[in-house]
Amino acid sequence: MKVSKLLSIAFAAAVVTGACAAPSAAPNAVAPQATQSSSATTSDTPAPAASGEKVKVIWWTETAVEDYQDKLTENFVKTFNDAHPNIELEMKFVDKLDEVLRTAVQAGAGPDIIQTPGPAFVAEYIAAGHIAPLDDYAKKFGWDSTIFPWAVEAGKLDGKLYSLPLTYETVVMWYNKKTLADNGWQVPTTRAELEKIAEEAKAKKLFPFVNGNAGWRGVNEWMVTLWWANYAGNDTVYKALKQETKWDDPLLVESITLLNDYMQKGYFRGSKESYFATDFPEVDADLASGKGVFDFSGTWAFQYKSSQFPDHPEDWEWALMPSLRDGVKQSFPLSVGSTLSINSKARNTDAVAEVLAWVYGDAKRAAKIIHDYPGEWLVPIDLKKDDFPADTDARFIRILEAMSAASKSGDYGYTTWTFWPQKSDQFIVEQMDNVFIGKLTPAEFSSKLQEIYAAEAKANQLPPIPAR
Amino acid sequence: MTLPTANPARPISRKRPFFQRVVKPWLFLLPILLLNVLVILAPSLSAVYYAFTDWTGLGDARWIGLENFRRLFTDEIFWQAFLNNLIWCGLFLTVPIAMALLGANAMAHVRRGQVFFRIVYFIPYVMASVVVAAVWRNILNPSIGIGVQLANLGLPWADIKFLGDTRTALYSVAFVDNWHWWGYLLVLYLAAMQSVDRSLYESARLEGANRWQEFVHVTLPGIRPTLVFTLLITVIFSFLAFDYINILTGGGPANASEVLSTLIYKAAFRRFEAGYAAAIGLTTSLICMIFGTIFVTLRRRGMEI
Amino acid sequence: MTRRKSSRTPSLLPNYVILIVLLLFAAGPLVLLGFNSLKTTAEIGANPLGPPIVLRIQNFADAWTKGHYATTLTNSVIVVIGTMVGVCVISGLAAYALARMNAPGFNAFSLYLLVGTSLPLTLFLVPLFFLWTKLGLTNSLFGLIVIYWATFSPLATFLLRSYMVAIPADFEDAARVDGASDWQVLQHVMIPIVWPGFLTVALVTGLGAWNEYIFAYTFIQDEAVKTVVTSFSAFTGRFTRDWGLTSAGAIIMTAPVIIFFLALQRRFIEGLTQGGLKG
Repeated sequence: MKVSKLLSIAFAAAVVTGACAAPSAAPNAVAPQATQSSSATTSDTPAPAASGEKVKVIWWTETAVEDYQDKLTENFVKTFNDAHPNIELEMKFVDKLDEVLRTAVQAGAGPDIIQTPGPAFVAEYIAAGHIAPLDDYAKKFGWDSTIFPWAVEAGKLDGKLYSLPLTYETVVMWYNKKTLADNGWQVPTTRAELEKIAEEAKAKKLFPFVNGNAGWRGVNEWMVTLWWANYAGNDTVYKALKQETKWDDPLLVESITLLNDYMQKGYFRGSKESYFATDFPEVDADLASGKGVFDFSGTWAFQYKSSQFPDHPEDWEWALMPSLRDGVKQSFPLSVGSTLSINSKARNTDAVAEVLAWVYGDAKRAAKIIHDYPGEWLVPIDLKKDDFPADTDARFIRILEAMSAASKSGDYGYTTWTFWPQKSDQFIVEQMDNVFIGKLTPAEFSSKLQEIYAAEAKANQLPPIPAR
Repeated sequence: MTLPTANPARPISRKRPFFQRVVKPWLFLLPILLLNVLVILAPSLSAVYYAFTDWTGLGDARWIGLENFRRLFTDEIFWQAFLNNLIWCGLFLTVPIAMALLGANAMAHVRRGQVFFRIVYFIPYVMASVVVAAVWRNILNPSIGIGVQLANLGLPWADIKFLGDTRTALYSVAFVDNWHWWGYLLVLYLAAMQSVDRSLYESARLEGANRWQEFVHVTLPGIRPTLVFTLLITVIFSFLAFDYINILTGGGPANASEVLSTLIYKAAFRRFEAGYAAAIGLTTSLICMIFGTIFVTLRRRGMEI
Repeated sequence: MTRRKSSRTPSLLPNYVILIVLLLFAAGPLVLLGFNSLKTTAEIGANPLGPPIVLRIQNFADAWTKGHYATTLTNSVIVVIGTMVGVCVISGLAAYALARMNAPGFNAFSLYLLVGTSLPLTLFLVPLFFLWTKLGLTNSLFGLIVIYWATFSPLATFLLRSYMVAIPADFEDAARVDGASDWQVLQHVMIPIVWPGFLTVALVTGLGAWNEYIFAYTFIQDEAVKTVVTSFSAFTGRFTRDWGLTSAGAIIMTAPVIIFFLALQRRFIEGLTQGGLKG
């Protein structure tokens, strides 16, 4: 009787707690400080090399279309391993990288090189002590001078360098030359010109803007970035980032209002429902077929251009987003795409640093990688036309040169996924949906954003913003 | 809970030693117990702790008591998600069950081709959710999918952006999941129907019952245990629904198809709010537990269900 | 209305109508999938719903290589077999005890098993990953199999238990009178009688293991160890454009299951329903 009662009670307790199971967390008994001394090894954390033995470095990176993965392995991994007989680099292509990485790193495992989708992501890892500082290596390899300063700044926190930018990007307006020619349109540079074309396109039952966010909710923030940059202007945005003005500054609110107006007018694919439901394959097909006129997207899209325009590759072209207000100059909003960092648990950080140095070390090698895998791995170093293989697309070279110039001159715009802190960035992505369906007014959106941003500023979570 | 059994276990006499009475039976349960503790219970227990912290998924966790829960109950998106789960539950307690009953009943009387029908109806169920979602995503495509095709053929109202319209998003996803799920129910009901005593039907017919009356008064009662089982699992799975929503709409647009499980996913993996995600998870489990307990208590009270 | 009708055969026409409508609903998308797997992307754009004009079998060959199906199918088969065998053993033991022995705490444990299967998956991942890393079980098929043993056993136990409970205890009593121990009774009396139940459990578990994807992509990163779901999800990545290829990939992934199911469909369906849910 006693035993059975005890057991029953014990199991009732187990039922309650077991059924109440909740989400992932490492047992709190193993506090981060303690794990540094423990041997948290996995197959992905290499053992220290005895002299003569190879040191293994593991790098988890984003999956890509098959061919690109092969090219990357050939152009980067193989060249590195050939040049460094003591180190063996292994690059693994991981599906759903950011999700799996968080799980692994938190568990004390994970690769030597931590690649995240952007500065806001890596900030969390830094705060948790998972990233090793890079300042000494920066000095050793001269990264402060090889890599564009603004891009390096994006990887600093509290004055220390923690991450390097793997790729840098900008957002532009893609179009189909044939579509414009067939309809008698010129590339617009002002708001009036843009709206004129949009209205004419609408009348002809074409989509003024082809974008849809079913495949990536973040498309919302590409738009917000462009509208803020080209209506409110980069100076205003900069001031808000520094909190010298607030996010509900009239110019910033009007930018959102304008974006929303265009959505309600049906410029984006005819209706907001269509915008919400459409994924990239259709977006791309519409630009190629002439069913849509403009595509606001970034340099990452270069890798899809050849398959998007298989029969007439000469038709695609990029231009700067038109200025949406008098006096605002067209510009390139720049962003750091993926970031690279060294796992604080990496056994041999010197070897890992060698791998990182290989990314930025040689302009021609970097250019070859970009040539074979366009749109990603656009390392923010000074690349010249001559560095590229002769058959590199001229349009690509043009944008790289322009981005390079913008980087050096400091005359660039701000992309939300690089210069905003994590919660604010997520807010922008998620809540624009609500603005589009009318649940939030642009003013409410802006003031709520201000609240969240101010809170993150107070908690010291802002990424560094280089002076203008 | 005492599970009703056809043949209750023999009463174990007090005279048998402790080993025989207690330890030996538990040895049989040892494998499942150990595995469960290792893989499910232990990780989950450590996670319960995090529901009461502000953990971000990386780094230290600071105890904040019931703060997460307070936030949860005042978050309108949480209530929207909960409502969506309830809608999902309502949809799945009706549509697939009705379809499966209809199909099984129609099939029970049919000799020819029964095997063929059974197989085809069941195939969607054996397909992985990623495959089913991909297939339907294509069919519901806003540019070249069925809506647009029908519109081109002269039915302009058919051009609905299924997964992009806040009014239809949740229902469209439920439709896809239903396509996958109902075959499983059909197969269960069919077998249950086939073991209902034929003579009951004959006596019903002799009393002049028509097909509908036969169905309601003979078939349904005859398959009651199976029916109830499917009701229970439908309710519980409704609160855990994740795959299709995550793949097809991600909870969007604008939270229109948000459910509890997508909230958890986003909180943990997109917004670095693992503590908050844990709180939502705990709440979800509690809800499931409540329903499970209701079912079990009803049975215990001897309610003939 | 008095109508002389044979008590045997009221018209079956309405039945067939219903069945055919449902058939179109169930099979329509499958037929479409088949069509699309044989088209080029261009043709899909031009002719999205009709049968292919030109049969592009190349899609299957391309999907096979691009998805590394040779490796992943093998891996998945290993995982499925390992899971099936393990779950049958584990739940066989547990079900027998729960069905036949009435030890203290059993009722509570049964309740725990029933309710404990209702846990949101996403919540598991990190602490489990932490544990698995310490045990060296990440990136291994065996590690994945152990997870599946734990997650599929509760339901399997319940299913098996219902079968066992429906069998009269006479044979077992007779065996016990002859001096057989519990373990021997299980082996020589119960299992031979209830083996359809085991088959069912094996099939249901196998199906679950084949299609499971969250644990599969979280715990395995090495190309050589990936399973078939990751092959397929590579086709549905962010920017896929080749729906013909993706359809072919979908068919490659589902075909083994369907073939297996067709071969054993009677057992599968009968087992799923016989005895299982009456108790």
